[in-house]
Amino acid sequence: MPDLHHILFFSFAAIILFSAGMVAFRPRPVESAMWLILNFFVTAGLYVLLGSHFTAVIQVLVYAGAIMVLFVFVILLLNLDPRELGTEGGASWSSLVLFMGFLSFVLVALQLATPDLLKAPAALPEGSTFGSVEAASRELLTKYIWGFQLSGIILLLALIGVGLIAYRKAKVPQVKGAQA
Amino acid sequence: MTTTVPFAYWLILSFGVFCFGACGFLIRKNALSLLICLELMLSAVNMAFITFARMHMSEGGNILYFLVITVAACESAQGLALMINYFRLKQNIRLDDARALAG
Repeated sequence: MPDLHHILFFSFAAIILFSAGMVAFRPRPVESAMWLILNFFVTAGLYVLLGSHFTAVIQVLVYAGAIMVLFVFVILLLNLDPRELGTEGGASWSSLVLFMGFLSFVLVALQLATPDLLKAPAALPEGSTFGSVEAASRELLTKYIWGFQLSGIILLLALIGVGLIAYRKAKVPQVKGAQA
Repeated sequence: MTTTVPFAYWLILSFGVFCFGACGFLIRKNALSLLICLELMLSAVNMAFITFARMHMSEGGNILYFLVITVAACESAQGLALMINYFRLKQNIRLDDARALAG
């Protein structure tokens, strides 16, 4: 009898793969973005199954919330018609197949080298704090403090860069006559 | 609540999502869809990170996830800003026409 975890995992995995395919192959960017939001939500569900609750919350808040809102905002701001999007197709399939073949070779080699990957994982030990906010933030602020500081600097630089790229000097409108 | 599904399945799922993202990245012809597929690939990599974190009972994977979404946020903000500027310049976001640096 299949247990609950397997049923949940495979149904989530089916939704994730389907929505990933929709993201990759729907022609209009706004459809891609909507499917991507679904993908991120269900991925957060998978993180809960793995016992990593902190990252599940971050996934919904930051990925599905903040980043995708930015995407949808820009899509609606540009308001593109199909002519401006360009035609699809003309992919370089040979390089794609080569790339995927190499990646899957690495994956198969990894699983041949580590047979434990195919066994059912051991349960979390009693009193384990894996994935909790407390454990994650303790590690983040002690062991990985330099990474944390660097990510803050990267965010600041990105903010300045976006400001510099997107800023445009406001032109003073020329007043022509008295109409309007 | 802990999983009983073997870790190999999680890694294969992550690989599948990454494949879809890479396919989309290579076949799409407008900059917006490219950025979206990039996010999909980063999310797939994140899934592998979380799986490895659970496998080794270590928080390191969760921290890497945190760093990756920081970079993803920066990258999408920069990309979208560049794209808005490009759209102002050319009135389209077709990548086939963006050949000024192609040599």
